[in-house]
Order: sequence, then structure tokens, then C-alpha cells
Amino acid sequence: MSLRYTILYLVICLLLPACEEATNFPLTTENSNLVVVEGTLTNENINHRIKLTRPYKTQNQTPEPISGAAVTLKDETSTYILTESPVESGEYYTPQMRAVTGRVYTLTIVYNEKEYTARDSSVPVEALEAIQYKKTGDRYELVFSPSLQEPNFIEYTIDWRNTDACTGACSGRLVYYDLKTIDVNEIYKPDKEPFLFPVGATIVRKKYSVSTTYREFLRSMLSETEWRGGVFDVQRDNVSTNLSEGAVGFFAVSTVVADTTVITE
Amino acid sequence: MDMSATFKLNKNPEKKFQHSISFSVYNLYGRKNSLFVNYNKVENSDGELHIPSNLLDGNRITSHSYMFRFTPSIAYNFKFL
Repeated sequence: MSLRYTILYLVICLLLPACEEATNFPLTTENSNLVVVEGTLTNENINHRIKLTRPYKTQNQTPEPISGAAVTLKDETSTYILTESPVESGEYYTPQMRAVTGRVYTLTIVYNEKEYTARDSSVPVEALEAIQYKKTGDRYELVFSPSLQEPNFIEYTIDWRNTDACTGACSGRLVYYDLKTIDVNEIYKPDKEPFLFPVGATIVRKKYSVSTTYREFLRSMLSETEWRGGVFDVQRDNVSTNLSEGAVGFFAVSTVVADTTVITE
Repeated sequence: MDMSATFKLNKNPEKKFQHSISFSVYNLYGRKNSLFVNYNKVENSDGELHIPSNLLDGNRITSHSYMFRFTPSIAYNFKFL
């Protein structure tokens, strides 16, 4: 009997150890002239930002900004010219405006004698449900769960810099995606590191609506980032885009609802 | 490197069956052969790797997963002639 258990133990010891560890593989990089576009237009009455950069050449690099591009935004009635601010930052801002739900917006970027365009329109957003959090030790942790019917994502900006509990880094930005798709790589995605915050932390929630094309982009982007490394990964692929002429990234138009919560005992 | 050796057990070739035993070792050097490589994780103070919740944590590391290092096996083969 003891021999049988010894053999079983040996088999388990030999076959099961699958291990993940940090490594330092050299990454081969190449100079790329790709234009990377990040920008979300919302129904908030603000200066909306479109960010233009080059792809990373090394991990954790600050991306090189694309400066000097001519960026314009058009809808059915108006044309908005975006201004780069600060100069050479690669960040272009609209005049103060809000996007109208259902209206089609066209982004045009002229850079190095090439014209890149992208179009999107927003869908309505559903209301925010009550925020959920639980106590973990002497701190708190957000509880995420799918909400209502339509695809969306919620951005949580958490800040406790003005409380007595602040030591070290006292802020965070978390995003919970609820795309209403059934993806096996999402179901078996790797664990996320828990994010804990103290009493007195302020949480600003913004819920973004997601159009069909934006959902496709988010789904392929998450397959290459947050959902990568689980038991059932998908084949690596380029992330989808709505930009022409080989630019990458996404220009999104979204409807937003927001609220603010202060964590109390 | 993998190695294997098979030993015939029946001495008499006239018998109506043959049987043998095989010993093999997969990955004799115990190398950490990567199954996949990821670039999306952070390492906490306990050395555990996680997808970061906080998008303000910028320092992603490269990680690789491997399995089946030094793996011996024994097989018994039996064949009717």
C-alpha cells in the first residue's frame, strides 16, 4: 500500500509541475513607422484628447510621440481642428465640445503626406448600478460583476492621497470590461493582482458605452493583454482597428455616465 | 535530450509471445523548455506573477511557462506472435 502511494506521489511530482517564472529573453525589435492612435470622444463637455505615438521598441518604454500632425474631427454639421498641447507631446485636444449619441464622427490625421481616417458613433449607455466592495483585512476591495444588458466597461479612479492612511502610492486606475461575449480565453484568464484601498478613499466611476466595432477592438486588445496567459489562449494576432492606411489603435465615440463614492466604515 | 532503452525479456524466440520492458527519460538535462512567453504581468513582493489590476503600475515583466522537466517512464510491452 505504501509503495502504491509512493509511486503516485512520484508521478504527481514529476508530471504536474508547470511553472511560470520571470525571464529575460532578448526581444528583437525593428524600426516601425506605424502610427498608433488612441482617442475616445464622449458626451462630456470637455477638451477631448487624441494621442498619436509610435509603437514601443522595448518593454515599458515611454512611447515616442508623433508631433506636427494635422488632426481634425468632423460630424454632420461641424469641423473641429485639434491643437497639440503641450508642443511635441503627441497629444491633440479638441475645442470644448460634447459628442452626441448616434452621430457619426470622422477623425482625419494628416502626417508625413499620408491621410489616416477613422469613423465611429456612440450608442446609449445604461445607468450605473450600485458600487460593490468588500472588506479584506483592514482594507477594502472592489467587487466586479456584469451589469444590465449592453456591452460596456467601467473605469474606476481610486484616490486616497488626502487621507491619513496614505503611505507610498495612494491612487489607482482599474477597468472592468463587460463586453457580453462568451470567450473561453476570458473565462480562463489569469488571475489579477488584488487592489486594496483604505477607508476614506474616493472612487470615481465612469461607465462607457461600447459600439459594435469598439467591442471588436476591445475584445482583440484584451485577448493580447489581460486575457493572455490562461489555459485556453487564442492564436496571437494583430489587434483590430477602425483606422485606414495601416495605422493601429482605435478612435472611439462613447456615451459616459459617472458617479463618485467615498468609502466609509 | 531524450533517452530510452528496451530490454527483451523472453530468452526463447520459439515462444508464441514476446515481452519487453522499456525505460525512457524525457528532457534528460531538465531544461526549462518554454511553452509560451508573456509580456503582461507584474511581480509582487512574494515573487508571484499576476496581471496588474492597477493600470498605473507600469513595470511589466517578461515571463515564460514550462513543464515536464526531467521525466522518467517505464513501459511493459507484450505481443502475441
